[in-house]
Amino acid sequence: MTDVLPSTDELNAVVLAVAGVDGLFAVAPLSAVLGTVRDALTHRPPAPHSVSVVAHGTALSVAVKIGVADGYAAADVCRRVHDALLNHLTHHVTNHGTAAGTPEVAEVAEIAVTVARIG
Amino acid sequence: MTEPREPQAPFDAFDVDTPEREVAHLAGHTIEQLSDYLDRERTPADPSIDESPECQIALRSLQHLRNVQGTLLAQDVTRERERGDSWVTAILQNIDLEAHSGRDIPLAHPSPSARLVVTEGAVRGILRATGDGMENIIVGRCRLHGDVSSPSDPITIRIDAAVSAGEDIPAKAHALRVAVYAALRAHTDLTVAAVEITIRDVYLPTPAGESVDPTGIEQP
Amino acid sequence: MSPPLRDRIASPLDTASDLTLVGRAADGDVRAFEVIVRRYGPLMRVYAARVLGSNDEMDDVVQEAFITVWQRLATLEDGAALKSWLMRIVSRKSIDRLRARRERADFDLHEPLAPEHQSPPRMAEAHFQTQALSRALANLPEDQRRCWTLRELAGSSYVGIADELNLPVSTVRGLLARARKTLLREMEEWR
Repeated sequence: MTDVLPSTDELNAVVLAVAGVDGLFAVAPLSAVLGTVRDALTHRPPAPHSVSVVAHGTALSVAVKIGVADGYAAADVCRRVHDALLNHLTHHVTNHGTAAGTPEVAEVAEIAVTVARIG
Repeated sequence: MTEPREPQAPFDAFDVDTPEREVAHLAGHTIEQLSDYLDRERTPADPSIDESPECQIALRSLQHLRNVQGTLLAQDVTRERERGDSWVTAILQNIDLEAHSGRDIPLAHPSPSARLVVTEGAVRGILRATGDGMENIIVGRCRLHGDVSSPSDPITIRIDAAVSAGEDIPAKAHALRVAVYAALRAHTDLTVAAVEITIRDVYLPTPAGESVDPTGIEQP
Repeated sequence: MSPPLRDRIASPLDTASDLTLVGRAADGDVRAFEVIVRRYGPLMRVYAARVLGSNDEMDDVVQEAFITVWQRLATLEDGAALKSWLMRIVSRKSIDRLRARRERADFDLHEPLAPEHQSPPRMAEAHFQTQALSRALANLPEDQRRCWTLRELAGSSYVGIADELNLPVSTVRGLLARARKTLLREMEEWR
């Protein structure tokens, strides 16, 4: 199943390419965002400063915490990050999920974007 | 009541192991009482202390000790101030920046998969930055009162601020209020019922080249 | 999350009141916190070194104190009382450190700690006297030095010291009296 998860590097690049994003922060605690996946996470090292991706059943959940640069409206930047991720993940699911015939990742369940700092 | 003291002999009252000699030599007082008397700046005046030569000797010594310890402290603090910056950096790198992120404030989005929020900490950052962008006003503590989790519920923003002496306070507060409304509109979906600004402090602008030592450590 | 360490440029925050800085830092403003660290950190370092009797653990103690400060700033009701609050926190951290030291090594703590500088008194009188006081303080028994430092450097009340050290007020008074008399007596010898 991990094979079909999009790489975090790839997703980090998607987020950082959005105009107005000037930093990524560690997403923690992820368990609070994703509830039941806590068990899968207990053996992980401390959260890196990056997008976090978890497959829960057939659903893909993504969380990211961003900093917004001075001069940009945080609400707009936040929505654009969501849209960029959704766009990227939709393609990913189409290409890897169904094309590979693996039903594990069939849909994008949640994209959580948190603006942790502005300016 | 006491014999004249030998010039080189130790002052009996400072003898650590004989408290009864202390009282006998200090007109019934203790070093502690004299020290407290100095703390009170010798007011109200106590004739039993002021008129006792022994007490005066002890007070002079206590005062001298304080002067020396004041100089020592000032020297030590100056030395610490002149030390490199690495200890400041180490502290700032070890604090948990998430500690003050506060509540999550949702942003609307038509997609059912979207879970978009701005943290309360980030919003307070905007309020501070708004003030920092204006001259002669510094925004202090900021509070968001109300249920921020529901964007349609009106909330009240309370801001403490300090203004530079001589400023027109109502005009400054008005300008800040206008700027705060604009900033919150740009960055959040919050419905703001009111922005209450309390000027808690008036500060003196520091003339260039003059350093302030706000720790209040006196250089004797 | 790595701290946004920005270039240090002169800012109106540098001269802002404690009240304003506490409000901002309690809201998560790292810049205001940095001004607090620079304003009171040196005094706290001096203080910690005096209580500990050495510079060895001063960095750790002051760092621990400021991490606590950052977490608890919002609980400080009166921002103007910042200095005494900071001194209480660094006192507590220093005392915790002394306790840990005692647990580690069961040696006689009343053995005087080696004074830092033993330079000959061939210097201006004022300098000589401060050096002598520094040595005299280092030679005080630990419990007396703690009481004296809390009283004279942190400006704590007798009751405050008693609370801090978990001792009866009468004991604190006794320890302070002994510390003062020892220092006064030593000072007589400097003349």
